[in-house]
Amino acid sequence: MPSVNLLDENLLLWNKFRNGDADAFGELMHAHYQDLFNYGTRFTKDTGLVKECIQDLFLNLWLNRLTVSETSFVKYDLLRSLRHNLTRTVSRSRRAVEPQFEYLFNCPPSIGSNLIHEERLADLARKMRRSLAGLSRRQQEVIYLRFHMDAYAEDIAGIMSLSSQSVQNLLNDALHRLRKVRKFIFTNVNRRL
Amino acid sequence: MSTEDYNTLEDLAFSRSFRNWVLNPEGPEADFWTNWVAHNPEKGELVNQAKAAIAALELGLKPLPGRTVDSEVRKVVQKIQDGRVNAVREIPLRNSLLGRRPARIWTVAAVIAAVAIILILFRIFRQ
Repeated sequence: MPSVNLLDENLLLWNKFRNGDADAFGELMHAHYQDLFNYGTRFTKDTGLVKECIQDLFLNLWLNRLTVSETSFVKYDLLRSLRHNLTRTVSRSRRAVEPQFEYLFNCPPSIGSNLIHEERLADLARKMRRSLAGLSRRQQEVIYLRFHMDAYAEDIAGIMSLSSQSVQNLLNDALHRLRKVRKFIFTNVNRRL
Repeated sequence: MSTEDYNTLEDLAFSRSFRNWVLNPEGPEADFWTNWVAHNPEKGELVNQAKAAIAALELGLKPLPGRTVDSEVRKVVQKIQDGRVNAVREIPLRNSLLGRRPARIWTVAAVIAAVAIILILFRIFRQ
């Protein structure tokens, strides 16, 4: 969770922006840029497109500043709008292909560094990742938002236009699979012993 | 969150504080977590499991360079201050879309035309 101070700060910027403060608006954009960019590039490898979508998002936000609501969930509202614009735009450009979320585990799990010393944990992490890669795209997105964006089920439901209950179910199932990986490994270890 | 509240995989794996410690064992959260682990030996396996889950969920993305973010922000603020915002279309990406798709269509059209011309010429010459 972001600290309370950070939330207050963003809320302050949000209200300054609603009153027409362009510099506060810039700061707001700055504060959320990395998260938006990371999320956007889960849908397309075209980073130029993602940057354009983010620009567009903020320019439209500025145009609508008099009608946007006072919100305490600035980040999640932004993520929801970006998702909406991006999926709409990408689907227009590539006709039949619906843009879908891809977790994209490009790198091996960051193990072998001083993060996790033991080989057993490294093995567990690799197996967990394989299990995650087998999740549906929707499930991958849910767990991405939970883990990387600190969003709770209700926030995720808002971003992805799903019900909180289905988000919770998707999340529980994903976590269940992660736990199952561990059980499997430990059974093997016990058998060996 | 009190100590007793870390009971499940998600409690730990989704805790920013725990994650900060796992990713940066010398960081400011180190005291709290080394102490917590020492006082909760029965949760050792849970801690390992959460560490592995964090490693599995991390993407290892490099953050964007600060100057890239700065320049993207500056573009927007500049447009606002210049009063150029009204010129923004609702989906300003149409340009790039028009630039791409028709290009492919024209390539296909050109190839078909070329083949047709060759076939026609071939027939004329045979006659």
